[in-house]
Amino acid sequence: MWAIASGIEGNLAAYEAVVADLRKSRQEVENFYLLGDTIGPKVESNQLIKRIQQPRKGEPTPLVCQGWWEEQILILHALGRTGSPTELIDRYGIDMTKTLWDAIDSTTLEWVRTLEFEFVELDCFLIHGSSLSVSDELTPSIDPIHAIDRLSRMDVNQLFCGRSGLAFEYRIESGSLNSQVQTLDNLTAPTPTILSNRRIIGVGSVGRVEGKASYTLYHPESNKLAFKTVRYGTKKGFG
Amino acid sequence: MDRHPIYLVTGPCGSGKTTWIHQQLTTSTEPSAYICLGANATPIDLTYITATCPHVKPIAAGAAWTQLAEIQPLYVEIAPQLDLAKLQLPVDIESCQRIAIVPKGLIESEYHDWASQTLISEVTEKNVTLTASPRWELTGEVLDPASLNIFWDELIQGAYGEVARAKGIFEIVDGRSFYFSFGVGFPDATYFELPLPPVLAGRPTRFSGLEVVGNNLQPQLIMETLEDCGLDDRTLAHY
Amino acid sequence: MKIAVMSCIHGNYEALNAVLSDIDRQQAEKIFCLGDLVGYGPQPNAVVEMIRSLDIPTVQGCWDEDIVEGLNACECSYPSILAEKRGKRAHEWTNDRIHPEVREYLAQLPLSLREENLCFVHGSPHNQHEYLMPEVNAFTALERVMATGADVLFCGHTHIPYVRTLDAGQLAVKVRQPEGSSTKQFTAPLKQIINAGSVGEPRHGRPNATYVIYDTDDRLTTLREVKYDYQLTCQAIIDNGLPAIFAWRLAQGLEYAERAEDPTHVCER
Repeated sequence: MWAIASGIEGNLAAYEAVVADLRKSRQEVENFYLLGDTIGPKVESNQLIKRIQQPRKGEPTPLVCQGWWEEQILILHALGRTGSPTELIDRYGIDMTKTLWDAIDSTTLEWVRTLEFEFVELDCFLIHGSSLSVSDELTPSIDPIHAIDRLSRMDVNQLFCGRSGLAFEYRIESGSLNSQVQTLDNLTAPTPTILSNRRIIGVGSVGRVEGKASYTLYHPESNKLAFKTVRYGTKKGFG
Repeated sequence: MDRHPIYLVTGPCGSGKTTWIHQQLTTSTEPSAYICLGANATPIDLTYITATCPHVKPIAAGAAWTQLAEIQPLYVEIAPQLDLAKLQLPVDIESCQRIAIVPKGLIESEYHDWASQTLISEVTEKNVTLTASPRWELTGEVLDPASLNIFWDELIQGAYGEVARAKGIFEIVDGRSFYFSFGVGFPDATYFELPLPPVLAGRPTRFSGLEVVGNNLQPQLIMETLEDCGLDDRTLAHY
Repeated sequence: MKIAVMSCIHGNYEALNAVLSDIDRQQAEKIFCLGDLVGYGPQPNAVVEMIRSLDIPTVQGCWDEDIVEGLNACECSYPSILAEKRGKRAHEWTNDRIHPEVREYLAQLPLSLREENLCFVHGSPHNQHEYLMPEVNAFTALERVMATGADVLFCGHTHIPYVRTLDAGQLAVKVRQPEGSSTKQFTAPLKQIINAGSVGEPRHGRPNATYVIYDTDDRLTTLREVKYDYQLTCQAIIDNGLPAIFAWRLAQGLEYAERAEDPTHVCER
């Protein structure tokens, strides 16, 4: 069984709730993925990262990739894939550059630098945004042609992502499309391209909604998915 | 054909001498020996035979002929540059099996006159006078395979002059060694990997090189293009 | 209305002239150009001046961008070391000779143009470096057209002209969320990708220039192949000190540089 989560956003209490929920399930977690936005623009992020790096006995060690917030902090330190923090400012205003800069300490920054962009395992692609970019937000209302594009860019049947924070399964049950090509020397007969059973899975968000953490379980053998929601009290002394 | 201890094999350029010898050597596993006379600059044939026929003892051109009596059968390939009338060997030429490999359509020639047996190869006679046969030793050069493919296609299609015959042994970036062969009238241009141990560190010290026979060749351009296909030390260290 | 669409002139003035004459004969009312006016060929300034003087709506190609921005194509856009070295030589040659006003003109070219239900790009709507090959997965191809909102997508960059018609698209989608699930059916309308080939650097195995004529009334495309005296361009390549291999490749209809192995690959710069 795999557990796949995203968007902790520095919310340590929410993360503890998910880890406790996994422990309670008594099923062996082979892979525990954290698909980015593990940090958020708050100091608590540093504490969370320490906790993630030191799993307790019986806890799976998370496989973590970069998310949108990780990308932003790298851009602020001129370590990102693009030069200026335009997206951060557009979304949250100029003050956020300072808030984020101040929140993330150098140890956490070094850790962020070591993260993968994505994971590929079996026929699954796991990433924060999509095969297009870390900011690409896939939602349940995506156009199916765009959904197929995101899947076929990595040539996978299943794409797990976390950008939207929503838990969903978007399954292309069947599709067909005729294509005919005329060249200078040749005209092909119309050829159908057929596809079936490819899906995009939104894994939910651990930390975005206070008191309610959601994540996803996936069984590679049976291909079954389960969306999990854990309620937790912030007053109970977690973290 | 009766077994005979020494075979002297001659024929015009690109008639299939090495191909014939290779066929004889691969149909048996008995210890044999091979020498190529008149090809001192680039031992392409010798390298090819040695790599593909481990039971064959290669004799470097210029080596002591006293070795020759030790292992028989001995195949002596005589390059067309050598004048058969003036050929001097430390063995009695008349007592050897003298084989001429001639292309289809070549009815009389000095090779016919000299040989005790004439074999007609699969190659078609080309009515061109070959004016140049430049050679390059490339030992130590490591080529980018994609570049090598472009260069080879250009070479055999005539980008650097009219090519009747081209053979080469090239080292590529993953440590493997490849034999390339092309001849006008040959069934196909071929290339295949030589069964040699891969060179995984540094530059290879074993022989590699190129030999081209044709008209109006531009050796300078060929050399420059080969240089453009090669990896510099920095790129090589990266692999 | 008949329109003519051409692409990838690559500094080949002879070929451009021949194509313009053919367009006249075909009585096209409007011409569009999909970029790569310069690079590899011997007459970059003359080509740009001709396009400007005729006021041909033009999008920017990757070579036009590189001449303006400086060579910033990543290594992965060259499939081999040899192609990269040749590309760099062509870039340096062009960069040394291009007139300032030509550079300015190339700098202000848009990445795409729209005309009613037609969209014009160099490579693909997502990236001018992306190759839309005719064998690209049909759904991927459809996504590229739909990303523009147009019905017909004109592109170049591959140097081989083609028309690809995508129709009878059917999709069944099931969406499941913790709150419930729903099923949706989609029908994709007919879309076309029309690749204009290359005027100055053809790759279809013959040296002739290629471009397309599109009739907006009956939606019919004609792929045009135009003979011209390519030997003049070959001679100019050699006379102007460009690598002689470019002349040989032009004469074979082989294009000067090979394509990247993964044509939809786009590097992140």
